[in-house]
Amino acid sequence: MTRRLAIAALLFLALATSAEAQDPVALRFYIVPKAGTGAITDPIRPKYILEVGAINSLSAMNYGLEDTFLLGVVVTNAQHTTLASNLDVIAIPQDIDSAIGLTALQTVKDKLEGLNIPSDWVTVNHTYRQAIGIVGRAFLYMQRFNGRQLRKFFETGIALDTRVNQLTQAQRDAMNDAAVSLGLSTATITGPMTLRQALRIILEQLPSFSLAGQTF
Amino acid sequence: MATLGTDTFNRADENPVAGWTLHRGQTAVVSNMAQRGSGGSSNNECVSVFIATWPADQWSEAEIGATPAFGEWPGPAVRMTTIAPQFSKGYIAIPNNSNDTVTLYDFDTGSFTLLGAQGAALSAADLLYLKSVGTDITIQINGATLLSLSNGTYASGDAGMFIYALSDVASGKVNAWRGGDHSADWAPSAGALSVSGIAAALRYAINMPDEL
Repeated sequence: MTRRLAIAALLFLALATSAEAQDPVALRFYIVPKAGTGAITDPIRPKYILEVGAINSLSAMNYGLEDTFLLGVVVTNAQHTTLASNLDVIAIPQDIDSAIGLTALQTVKDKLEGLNIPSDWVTVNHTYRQAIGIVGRAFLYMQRFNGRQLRKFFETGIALDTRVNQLTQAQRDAMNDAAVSLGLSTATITGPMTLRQALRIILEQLPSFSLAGQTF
Repeated sequence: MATLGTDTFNRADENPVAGWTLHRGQTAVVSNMAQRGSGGSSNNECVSVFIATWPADQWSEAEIGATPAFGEWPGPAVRMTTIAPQFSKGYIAIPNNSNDTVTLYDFDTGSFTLLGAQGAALSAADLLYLKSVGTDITIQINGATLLSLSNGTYASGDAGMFIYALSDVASGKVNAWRGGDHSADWAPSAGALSVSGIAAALRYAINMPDEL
């Protein structure tokens, strides 16, 4: 038990050590899988956060019950290298106000689609801040969906290209309930729409949100 | 920012604490402070909410009763709901003085999901404040903002306190508690995305001919 608590102590962050303090720190954003059992000694948390050593500041958004966190964390270069070296970590460029550009465009779209987040709005001129903005809004909606429905939105057989009228009435009601609970309107969503379209209508209405001191 | 509830726990020892609804475990008053009481649950945590009518946008502030040792984590809780004895979920903020951090969790019936953490060391008499307004969550210490982030999981619930203690005679203590209403601070509004510049992108996408 003592050892487990000691391990947990690492998670609850600590002031950077003197050695780490010599390495410049920067706020960076990542999309990472979940880890942990949920016990207070092993909380559900962004995966690999224990492995990078002591850090000062962490903000995370869980993607409802999906196996994903959006993470904003102040890290050293060495910690960033450790995090980004994992194949299941999406490391977002440090300058989040830079344009995505042609080279990275398809990669960004593929990553968004991999998260079941509509990506066809993204162009070369959009910034990574805007991309994080749409990811975070999707996460906020899915958090509320999970909070009220206690289950995943993207259940087996449901994908972005599923049409609203292919959902069961209970599934449509659940989608509507989560939106209304956030003060959003679903009045313009119609049966023939895909979830890709319907989710964009919902996410567009969400106000700006904050993560790690940044507004998106 | 009206205050809807206060409790200084300055009264004779009692277990459970009067004036509160127990969600999980048992909260007691011992030596004029709230702490984990015996009974109620085999777990080390207790969650209690102050009996009042709580708006969705609310705040909760716990005055730390003793410098919390490792494994002794008292703090405020907001938007706590329960559906049955021992079931409790909502947002909690707790200090961990073993490494000088304050941590925000989504707590769901014994399951903890890490939402945020920031370096800070708390001592007795420090005020740890947690506010949920819309989807915005803010932690303050002695009136200064420590951490702000967004989370949409819980829409409403009651304000109260969370205490985790490995022992029911330990340092996870709350000397006084206050909670209140913050409903005037936040109003969801369509089009707010335009502030962040994303509206233009979304409008572009939504207006694509094949999607009309």
